[in-house]
Amino acid sequence: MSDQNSLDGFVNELMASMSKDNRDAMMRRINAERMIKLVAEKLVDLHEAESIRVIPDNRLTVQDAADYLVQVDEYDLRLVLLDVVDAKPTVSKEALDEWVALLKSNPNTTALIVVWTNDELSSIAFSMRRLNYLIDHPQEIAKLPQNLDTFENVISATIRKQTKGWKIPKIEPNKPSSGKRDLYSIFSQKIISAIDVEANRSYRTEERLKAAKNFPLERETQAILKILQDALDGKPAKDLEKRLTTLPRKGDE
Amino acid sequence: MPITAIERSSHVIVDNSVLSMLTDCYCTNNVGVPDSQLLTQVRQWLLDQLANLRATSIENKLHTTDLVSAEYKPERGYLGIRGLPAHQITPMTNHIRGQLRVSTMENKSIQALRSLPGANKRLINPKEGLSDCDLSLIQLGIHLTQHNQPVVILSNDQDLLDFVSWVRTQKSLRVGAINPLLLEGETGLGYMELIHRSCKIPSAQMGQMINFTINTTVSRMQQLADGTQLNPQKAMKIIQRATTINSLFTQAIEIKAQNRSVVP
Repeated sequence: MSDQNSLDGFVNELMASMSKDNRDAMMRRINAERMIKLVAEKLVDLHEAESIRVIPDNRLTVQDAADYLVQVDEYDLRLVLLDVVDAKPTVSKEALDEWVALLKSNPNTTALIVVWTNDELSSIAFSMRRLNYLIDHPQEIAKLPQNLDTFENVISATIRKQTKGWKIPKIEPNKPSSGKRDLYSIFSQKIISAIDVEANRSYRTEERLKAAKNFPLERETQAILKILQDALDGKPAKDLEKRLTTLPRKGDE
Repeated sequence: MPITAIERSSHVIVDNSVLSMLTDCYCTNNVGVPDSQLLTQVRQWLLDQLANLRATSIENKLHTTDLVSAEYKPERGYLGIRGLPAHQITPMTNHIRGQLRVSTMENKSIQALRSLPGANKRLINPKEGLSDCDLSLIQLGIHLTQHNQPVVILSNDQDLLDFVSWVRTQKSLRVGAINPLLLEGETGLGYMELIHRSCKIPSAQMGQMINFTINTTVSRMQQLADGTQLNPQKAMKIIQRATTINSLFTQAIEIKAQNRSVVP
């Protein structure tokens, strides 16, 4: 057992016992937090490339904060935990207004996941558009329980939606007369077009935008094309892989 | 002002981590007590704390398993560091072990918990996750739910507590009268703090227990003999946690005082 884990558990219990006036509600909250932690652990392993981090939110800043902040690559998700009354998940109009304010003050947050502290961890994801729709059509709020799913399914689906899908056009097989030069031109065109798409991407954060601007586009393109040429010339994949995963230095071709 | 407290009795299961924490906490806070008196005083302190826990339990009984009972070895903690010989500590150890109702759980049922579908792989890995001792406590908890009354496992092992929260929702364990939803896991310190709110544990004593936990954690921020040291980021998080605990504990004391003043 790590000492810090023991301290974390104690803090969570104290927090829950201060915010809830009965022990059942306190335990519902604690159990939900522990299960969310286990699901998050699974997601971190599953989406290694997106480098997911789950950190407490409202304990850092009080205003316009959720319960947990999930940082996924370059966007955030926020989790709000709601206690269940008579085992029925419900949403109030006031809560919708609060969540709109939360998303407005956190533009990097793409979705808000509301998790009810029942044994199933019933959950639902809200975008700003969905929240505004519900505010405009309050009669739809009562239908929300029909759209609930487990927390694991909801957060997995939300991350999947945000993950950029690479649409690689089908490459026509070479004609028998085509030589190495044809392959090079087909692949190089695709690579250059993929790099162009990346270069023209819009970024939400200033840091990402700055990083994209400073990216040595021309040098990187040349390096990748050189690797492609070497691959077609039959150089071992192991050497090429190493070059692909190493940033070229100034003067490298 | 409403405040969460222990509202009903439960079957209470105690982990070795709680007994060890209580033992070392007293010793650390009473370094000036001579060796000749220390064991008697520690024993009395432990008996008092177990009595506090027992007051919240069904039939005044505290439960554990044989595997966990055998893990309680105070000579490996502060008492050993202080140089007290094991043979002098053993009578106290046996006396404390005797305060708990010890059950033996079948190895087969313990291992069955490792093969529950969907269980967190790290937690069920015997090398990195929960030991057979830990799982024996959970199995005992599940077994006790057949009496249709709440069951609480007290442990300072966060992995164990996380697994309890997951296990209780597993429908495959609902066999006959067994209802895992009646099972809960709480930290030893958190549960004692709830008892503290009902004025059974003095605030000064509770403060000592909390300070002990914080200090033990904070001490890891200093470089150890083997050269290891906690990284600054983790150290900062620990300090933040400690600050939060202190402010919440202060709030609990205030609420406790308010509640006391409204009691006729």
